[in-house]
Amino acid sequence: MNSVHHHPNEDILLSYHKGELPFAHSIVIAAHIETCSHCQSELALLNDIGATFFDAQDEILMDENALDLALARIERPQDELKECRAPNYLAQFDIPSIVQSIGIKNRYWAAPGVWIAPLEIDPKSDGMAYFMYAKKGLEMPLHKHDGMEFTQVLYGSLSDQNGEYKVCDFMGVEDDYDHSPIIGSQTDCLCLIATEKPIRPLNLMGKLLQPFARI
Amino acid sequence: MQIDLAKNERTSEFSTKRVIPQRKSQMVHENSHEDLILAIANDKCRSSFAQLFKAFAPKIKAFLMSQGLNGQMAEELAQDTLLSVWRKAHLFDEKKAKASTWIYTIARNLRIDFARKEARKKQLPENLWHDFEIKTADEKLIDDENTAKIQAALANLNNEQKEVLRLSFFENLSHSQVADALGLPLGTVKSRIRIGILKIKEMIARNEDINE
Repeated sequence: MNSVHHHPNEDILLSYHKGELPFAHSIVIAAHIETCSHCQSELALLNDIGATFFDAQDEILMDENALDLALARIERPQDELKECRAPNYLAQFDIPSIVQSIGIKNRYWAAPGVWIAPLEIDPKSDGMAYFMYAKKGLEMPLHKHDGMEFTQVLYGSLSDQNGEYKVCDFMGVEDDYDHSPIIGSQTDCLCLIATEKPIRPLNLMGKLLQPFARI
Repeated sequence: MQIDLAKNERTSEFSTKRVIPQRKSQMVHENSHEDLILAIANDKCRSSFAQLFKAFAPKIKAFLMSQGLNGQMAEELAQDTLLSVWRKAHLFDEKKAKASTWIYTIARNLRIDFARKEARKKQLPENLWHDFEIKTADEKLIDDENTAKIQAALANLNNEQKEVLRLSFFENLSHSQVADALGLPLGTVKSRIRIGILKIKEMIARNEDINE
């Protein structure tokens, strides 16, 4: 059963498939796909379409000694994979497996009732990706986005003018969209969020808090 | 849970014990590409690897060059792709993807990884392989039959739709690059891609209805 109600649209999935998204955003899409069978099927279709072109193309000869090289390379031992343990404060949540191989920086309190834990990626080339935890019932200050903001709900729920987003739902916000999401009243909420540029607070509370929030 | 159930169903027709996939496939068809990957997964079979290499490395090289890599880089990434096939063969699931789709996806991921590394010289997480590790209850099975349907569906598209899909998927051009290449407005390219994919989906769905 697929209980996911909000998905990345076709354009976003195609961009993900083609590797056109910033790394931060591709992490959030990967996190969504981990729990969404609908999007797994969509992506599988894109893979199949691509593979059909792949099958049909002409070949280009490899170097003369390519196979010998390949047979030598498979004998070499594989490097140990880096796998980061999720910090204790995330232990009670189902954290997307993609995040566990990236690494998470220390969390900090961004505002009363809100903490942020950024992923260890390079904001210059990759965009920003972070976990955000917010207390139930909280209303986030009104803000605007420069560039896309992707959000994957991992725990609890939140809503904005477009509807309610529950666990496993994806919220994609386009350039120049302003909203002030409200955290669901029943439980606290944990999200994985990707942004291209820092948000632009639109009211006094947001402006006062932004230096602490660093997002 | 679902995964185990599915495996049991599949193997029970041969034996109550777990049958290794190789034995089953030998009964059905000799040395398909899928069998070769399974032989690598089960037995680290070097001759199967060599066969796969010969079959796929030149295709991968061509694919990568079509996406703008030079011959040397395409050669290296084709090597890396086959090395990944060797190392990740245990993740291959013939019920989810046919061999060429799986290998294509590895090559595509490595190309994306390469482009990002060029941008920032940093390692991508291994877990981008999760495309093939995740299974959920109502997953859609991708098999030879499905790929044949996609081939048939592609053949049924008109040339304009086929061309935008080819440029988008195969030459990996962005929507606006496709628009430039074909001298079309961006909106037309976007809608042709969307309609093309939609038509393929519809044709697959219709096909399934007929079969049911």
